[in-house]
Amino acid sequence: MITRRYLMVRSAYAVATTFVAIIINFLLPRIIPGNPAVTILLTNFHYLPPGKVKLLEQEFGLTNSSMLYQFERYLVELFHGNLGISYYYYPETVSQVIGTHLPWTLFLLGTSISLSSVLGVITGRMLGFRAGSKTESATSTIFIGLTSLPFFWFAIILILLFAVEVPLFPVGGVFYILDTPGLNFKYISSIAYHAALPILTIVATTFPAFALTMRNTMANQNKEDYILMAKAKGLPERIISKKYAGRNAVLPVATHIILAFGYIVAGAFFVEVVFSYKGIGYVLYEAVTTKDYPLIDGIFLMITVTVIIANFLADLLYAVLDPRVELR
Amino acid sequence: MFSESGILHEIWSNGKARFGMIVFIIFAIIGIFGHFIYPYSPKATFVIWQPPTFAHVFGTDYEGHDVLSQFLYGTGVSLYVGASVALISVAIGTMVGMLSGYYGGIVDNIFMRFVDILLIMPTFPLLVILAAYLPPTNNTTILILSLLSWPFMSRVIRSQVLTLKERPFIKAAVISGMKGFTIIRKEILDHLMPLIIINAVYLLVGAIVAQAGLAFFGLGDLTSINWGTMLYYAQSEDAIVYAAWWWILPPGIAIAIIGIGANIFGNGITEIFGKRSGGA
Amino acid sequence: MNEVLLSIRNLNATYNADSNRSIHAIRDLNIDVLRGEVLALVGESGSGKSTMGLSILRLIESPHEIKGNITFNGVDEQVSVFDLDPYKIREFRWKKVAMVFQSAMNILNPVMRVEAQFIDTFEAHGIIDDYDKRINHYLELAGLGKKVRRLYPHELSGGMKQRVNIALALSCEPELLIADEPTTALDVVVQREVLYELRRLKEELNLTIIFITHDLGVASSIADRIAVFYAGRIVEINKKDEITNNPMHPYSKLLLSTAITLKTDKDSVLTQLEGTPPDLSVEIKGCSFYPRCPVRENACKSFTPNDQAKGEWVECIKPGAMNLKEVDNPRGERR
Repeated sequence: MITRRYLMVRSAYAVATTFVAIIINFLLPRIIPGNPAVTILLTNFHYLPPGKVKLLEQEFGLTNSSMLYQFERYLVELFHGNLGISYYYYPETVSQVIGTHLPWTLFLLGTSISLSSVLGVITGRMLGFRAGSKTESATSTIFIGLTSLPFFWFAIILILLFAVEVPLFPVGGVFYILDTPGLNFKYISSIAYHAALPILTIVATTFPAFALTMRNTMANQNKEDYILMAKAKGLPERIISKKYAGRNAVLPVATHIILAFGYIVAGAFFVEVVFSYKGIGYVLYEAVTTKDYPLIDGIFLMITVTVIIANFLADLLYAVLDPRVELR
Repeated sequence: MFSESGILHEIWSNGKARFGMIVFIIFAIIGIFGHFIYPYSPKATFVIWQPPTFAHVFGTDYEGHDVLSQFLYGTGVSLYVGASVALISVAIGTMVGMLSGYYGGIVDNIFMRFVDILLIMPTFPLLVILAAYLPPTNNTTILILSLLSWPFMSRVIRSQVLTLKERPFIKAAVISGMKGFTIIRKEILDHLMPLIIINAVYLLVGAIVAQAGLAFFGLGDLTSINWGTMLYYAQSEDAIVYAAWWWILPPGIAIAIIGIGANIFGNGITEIFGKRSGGA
Repeated sequence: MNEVLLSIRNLNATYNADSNRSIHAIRDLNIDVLRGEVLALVGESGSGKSTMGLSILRLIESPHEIKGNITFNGVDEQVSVFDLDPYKIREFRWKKVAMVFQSAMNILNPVMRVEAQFIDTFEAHGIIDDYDKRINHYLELAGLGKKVRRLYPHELSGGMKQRVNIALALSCEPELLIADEPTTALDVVVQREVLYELRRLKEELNLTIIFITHDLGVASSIADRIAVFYAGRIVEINKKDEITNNPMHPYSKLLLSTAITLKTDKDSVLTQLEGTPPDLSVEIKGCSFYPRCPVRENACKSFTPNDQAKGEWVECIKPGAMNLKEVDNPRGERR
């Protein structure tokens, strides 16, 4: 149940963390010794392109005015959604770049997290029922192995196997350039075709961890008193495993999924890079390799705030699932 | 209570923990002696894109470097980064966790609010932005990873200290007039050992993966040879297109093995100490 | 009045803890429960009294084992509990025999409202109408208001939880109610209330109650008959007054003195029985109380227990032999 106190404390943390992120975003370009505009241009282009210094200085809000005034200007711009202009995508603004590429990342993440949660709960429940058997311990060991693999490496191996050695899937991209975007079958199937391996990577490296959590809680459900009570009441097996064991075992898994959220987002970014999948992660990679600082800053802020909000919402959802939730 | 050697002995007697230890020992040997046993200089160049041969057991990369030599050399660098991060975060995390848990009150409040915020903050974007602005060296990477790793550690330590505080032997020490710091050093630290070991291992492996990830993303010192930069160049120089699996497999498999080692080691440690203290 | 409602013959229950250790929690137990009585099972933890409760509902499942015969003479039919098929046993549970579990246990499903835990019980037993009326009725019977329906278990106090458990146990109108330490974790005032409630409900609903407790004092305040458990067997069974005034088995005697002393003066006589109950994972020969008994003799080692199924008996070679004064200081005497 969501009490007012719970809501207030949770949102206070979300706001405080967002504020810290904003401050980091504001300070980092400013605490680097020397004129960041010059430093950045020198490390980047090894000479000072005419006009660029001024442009960059304005970009950072670097005038001779006080820090406080600069911060104020920065906040005002931020609230108008102005994150500056991208170097690499010039003359597009950072907000425009994010706006174009974010949907692909959301699509990738949404699909993967749903699939991986459902798969994790189902396989975990099966493992829980067979806890102690040979099949179970073998599967669990494989799962531990899968959770230890880095996303990007697994992605590379999948490409190597299923796009290069056996060319079943495309090596990269979001859809075929020749397809016309729109609600036509060819376009949509092209999207699904390109997203298959990236999604497979994310799901395969995340669902085993959820399954292991589910297995552990399921295996412990048999020791719970309310399961004994449910049997004593003469409830059918089906109801006990669904409403009693299942419903209670899902709670720790839900916590796990919420905690893993930021990790999965990072994982998706790596996967985008490997598959040249033009979502936000790929753009961030481009920004890093081309030293496109305004774009890096903008994406940092956007992701941080998104993850914070998503976590906040997930916390609320969890409180609905588990009536016992009360905040310290 | 147990001494350091007692712990090691106990760990060694558990099959899972022993497996993990052996994995670490093998990598440590490669890491420390890799510099002496590589067949060629990691920077020497040969024919490019060569599949494995007797002369080049792991083949060569896009510039003709011997992959085995690079791997042996790079293991040392990756382990150095991982171990440094583990050491720093364990030191800070344990200190903060113990002070916070033992003294409570204002100290605890300030530390934990700070930790909470750091924990809510998604790690990866923060890593990227810090690495993008700070000078690209391995030490910067160590610094950034440590900065972001200790909060979780301190949380774990703190909650364990809170339970320990309620145990009779700590209460007895307090009543007998032992000073706070002496209690922390003599009584509490000893009982935290299993927890510290297990977290140190996870931190070590986590840092190795994170460093590799950052390098793969083009951040950190790209002139340094390590598992991460090997994968970075494999990706950016299209090793996939050349199907140069001999270049891609070694660092990835090494990361996976050390990760599996850590997980199994962790399970073993929980088996040993979980039974005894009811929560390691 | 003396009609037998439940008869247990040669009951054996074994807990297989792991592959090389099994604990014989109940050994060849025989007992009859009479319709309309309150029978208290008294003993230390591990003496088998709770296991007997669970056995009646056949809740001891693989890898653990139960053997023997339990016959339930219901109003409409007689059933042999261990022969019921999976569907019938489900029907038997709660409809014929319901249970109030230990109050310290986490018996209610934490993620379901109280009313939902009534409704699923009704649905399982083919009761399909008047949910609201029924729930209100049983909550009221157990001394609770209607508001409780909408609450989650964590919002209830210990006493309220136990009342909900009682209400749930009554909700399918069982003939036999097993109450397993229903008041143990509650404070004294609430404990007394719950006991009073149970006694009242028994009269009102014409229930038969098996009341399981480690506390002889509590047992004597509610029971008609008392059975004393030791090491998986009933060592003495009799009417309440007989047991409390004139216990025949040395163990009952010591248990009684413990109960009394605990209430008056901690330091005098006995505060605790010396020694521990026997290890139930090895076979016990002769009298199981022999190692702890203050009046043991050699013949006890080869004593084979007689048939227990009568209304009253004591499992001892020389019942009533022990005089409490003799064992004023049993610890000192026996070393």
